[in-house]
Amino acid sequence: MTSRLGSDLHTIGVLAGREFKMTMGSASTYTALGLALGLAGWMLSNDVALVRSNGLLVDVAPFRGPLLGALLVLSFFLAVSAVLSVARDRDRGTLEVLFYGPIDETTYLAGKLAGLLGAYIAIMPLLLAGLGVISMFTRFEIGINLIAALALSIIPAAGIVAVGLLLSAAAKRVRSSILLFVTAVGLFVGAAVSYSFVSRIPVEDPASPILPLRDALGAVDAVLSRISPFTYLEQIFDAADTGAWTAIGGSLALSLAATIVAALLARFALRWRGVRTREE
Amino acid sequence: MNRSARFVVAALVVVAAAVIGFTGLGGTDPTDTAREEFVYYPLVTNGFEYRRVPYPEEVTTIRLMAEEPVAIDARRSVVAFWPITREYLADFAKLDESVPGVAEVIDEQGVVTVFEPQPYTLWYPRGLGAEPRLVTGTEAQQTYDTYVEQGRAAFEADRQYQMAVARLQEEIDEWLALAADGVEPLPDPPAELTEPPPEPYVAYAAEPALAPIVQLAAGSYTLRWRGDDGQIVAGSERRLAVSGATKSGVAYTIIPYDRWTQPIFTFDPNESIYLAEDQEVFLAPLRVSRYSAYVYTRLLDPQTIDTPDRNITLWVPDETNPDLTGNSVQVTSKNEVTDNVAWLGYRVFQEPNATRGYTIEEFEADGALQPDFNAMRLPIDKSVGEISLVDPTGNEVANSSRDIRRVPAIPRAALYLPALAFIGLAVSLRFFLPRRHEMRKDSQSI
Repeated sequence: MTSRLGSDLHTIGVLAGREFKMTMGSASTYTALGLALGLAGWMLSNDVALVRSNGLLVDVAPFRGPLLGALLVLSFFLAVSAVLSVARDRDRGTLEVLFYGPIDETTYLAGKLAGLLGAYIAIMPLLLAGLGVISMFTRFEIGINLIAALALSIIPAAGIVAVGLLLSAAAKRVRSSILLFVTAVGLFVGAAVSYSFVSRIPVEDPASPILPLRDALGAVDAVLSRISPFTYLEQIFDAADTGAWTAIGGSLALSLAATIVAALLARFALRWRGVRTREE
Repeated sequence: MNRSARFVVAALVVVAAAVIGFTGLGGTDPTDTAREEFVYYPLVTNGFEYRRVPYPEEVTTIRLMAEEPVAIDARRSVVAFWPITREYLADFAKLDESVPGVAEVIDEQGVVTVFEPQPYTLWYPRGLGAEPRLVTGTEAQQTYDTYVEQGRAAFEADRQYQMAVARLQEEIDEWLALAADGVEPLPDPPAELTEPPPEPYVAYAAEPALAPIVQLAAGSYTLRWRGDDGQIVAGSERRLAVSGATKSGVAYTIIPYDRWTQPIFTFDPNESIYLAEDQEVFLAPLRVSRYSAYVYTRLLDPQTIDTPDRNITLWVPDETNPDLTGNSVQVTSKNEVTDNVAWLGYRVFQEPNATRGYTIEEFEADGALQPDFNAMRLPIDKSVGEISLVDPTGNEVANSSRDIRRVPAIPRAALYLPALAFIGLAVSLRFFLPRRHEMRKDSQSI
C-alpha cells in the first residue's frame, strides 16, 4: 500500500516536473507575464497621470487593481495552458503511451495540476519583482495585505487550472476543448455584461418586458458568478483590501472545495472520454 | 456535429431556457399584488437626517443606528410590489390609517420592553438644511413653543425693520420731490437707518406628534406592536437590527494649493496621500466613524437592490463630536517628529501676476473679514513621511495618521519597462535559445 502511494507520488512528481519545465521553458509564459505587467503598468500610469493633473491622489492600495488585473491575465493563461495540455497529449498519442505505464487518471491529472500550480508559484516572485520596480519608480506602496492576497491566490488559481483540466479532459480534441473553454468564459462574461447592459436601460412602465428580462439575467449572472473560479480570486483581493481576513477564509474554503470538485469531475471525465483520440 | 459541439449547444440552450423561463415567470402587474397590510412607518436616521421610511410586512428587518432615538409609527396601508425598483411600496394616498398601540421590543434574552407613545418633534436649530435633533417628552412641546415664540418675535422684528425701511423710503421720496420742485431752503435729507437688519431666523421645529420613541444599544431585537385591545397586531413582528460604528477616526479635507476650490478627502486611516513633488497642501481634519456599507445604505433605503460586499465599509463624518479646534498636525520625517502645524485661517488673494492667479496667505484678523478656509499647512519638505493629529495635551488622536508619499516626475513609459523585459525574454526563448524536448526522458524515468 505504502509502496503504491510512494510510486504514485513519484509519478505525480515526474509529471509535475515535466509540466512545470514545459510551462516555465515556454515563451508564451513570459509573454503572458509581460502582458500582465503591461496591464499593471498601464493602470498605474493612469494613477501617475492623476497625481500630475490633480497634484495628489488618495488611495488605500494603488496596486490592488493592477495586481488583480495581472493575476487575472496570468490565471487566464494558466487555464488556457491546462485546456491545451490534456487535449494536446491526447491528440499526439502521448496520453495513451503514458497510460501503458504506472499512470492512471488521478496521478496524471494531479501531476498536471501540481505542475501548472508550481509554474504559477514560480511566476509570483517574477511578477512581484516587476511590480516592485514599478513601485520604486512611482513610490506607490504595494502593501503587506496585497502580498498576502497574492500568496493566497494560489488556491483560486488551482481552481482555475482544475476547471481548465476538466474542460480539456471532457473534450476529445484540442479544437473541442478550446470551444468548451471559450463557451464557458463567454457565458461568465456574457451574463455579467448583458445584465449590466440591461440594468442600465431606463424603465418607466412596470409592464415593460425589460423588467423580467433584467431579473432573469440577474438570476443567471448570480448563479454563474457563484461558480466562476475567477470570482474567488476577486473576492480574496476585495477582502484583503479591507483586511477582512474572516471573509478571505470563507472564500478560500469555497475555492478549495470547488477545486476538489472540479478535479474529481476532471478525473471522471478523463475516464469516460478515454486516452485515445478516436475509439478504435 | 461532434459531442463537444453538441454539449456547447446544449449549455447555451439551458441558459437561454433559464432566461426565457425567468422572463415568463416575471412581469407581475402591481395592481394584482396590492393588498392591505400593517406597515411600520418610523422616523429613522442615518446620523445626518431623519426620514420616514415605510416597512411593509415583506420587509422583515428594520435597521437602526445604535443609541439614536427613532419614532416608531404604525399604519395600515395598501402595499404593492413595484417591479421597476423591486420594492414593496405603501400607497398612503389610498389608505393611511393610524394603528394605536404600543411598541414592544424583545431582546436576545427574551426581555420585553414596552415603549409607550410620547410627544416628539424634529428640531432643526441651524435650519432645515442642517442636521436635526429628535426632541422627545415634555421637552418636545417646550422646544416647539420656544420655536413658535422666537419665530414670531423674529417675524415681528423683521416686520418692524421692513416698516422702518419703508418709512425711510417714503421720506426719501418726499425729500427728492421737494428737491425736484426747487424748494428753498431744502431741508436736510432723511437720516440713514442706524439699526442693523435683524438676524434671519432659520431654526425650525415640527409640530409635536405622539409615537413610541425607541433608542437601543447595538444588537438584534424583535419588534412587535400591541394594539389598544391588548392583542399583538397581526403582521407586526419584525427583526430589529441595531448597529453602531465599528471604528472611529479622523478624516482630512486636503486642499491643494493650486486647486483650492477642489478639495479631496481621505477618510480611511489606511489610505496614503500621494503628492506631486511640488504640491503644497492644506489639511482640515474632521471626526469620522466607520460603518458597514451594506447596513448604512439600508438605514434609509431598506429595500435597495444594491448589495455591496458585506466587508465593504463606509466612513461618514461624525456630527456628534465634530470639534477638533485646538488640535494640531504632527509631521513625522524619517520616524522623527519634525514639525507641529497649527490650525490657522487662510485667505486667498487674487493676483493677476501670480502663477495660479492667486496666492494663499495666513489670515490676519481685520474687522469683519473672515478667513476663506481654516486648515493646517503641510510643509513642502519632501522627506515628510507621515502626519497625525495631536490633541492640545500632545497625545495622538486615534486613527488620525496618514502616510505621505511624494510621487517623482517620471516618464510614464518607465512603468512598462518590467513588461518589456519579460516580453524580451519571451522573444529570446522563442527565437534565440534552443528548445528542449524532455518528454522522452521523462517517460523513461516514469
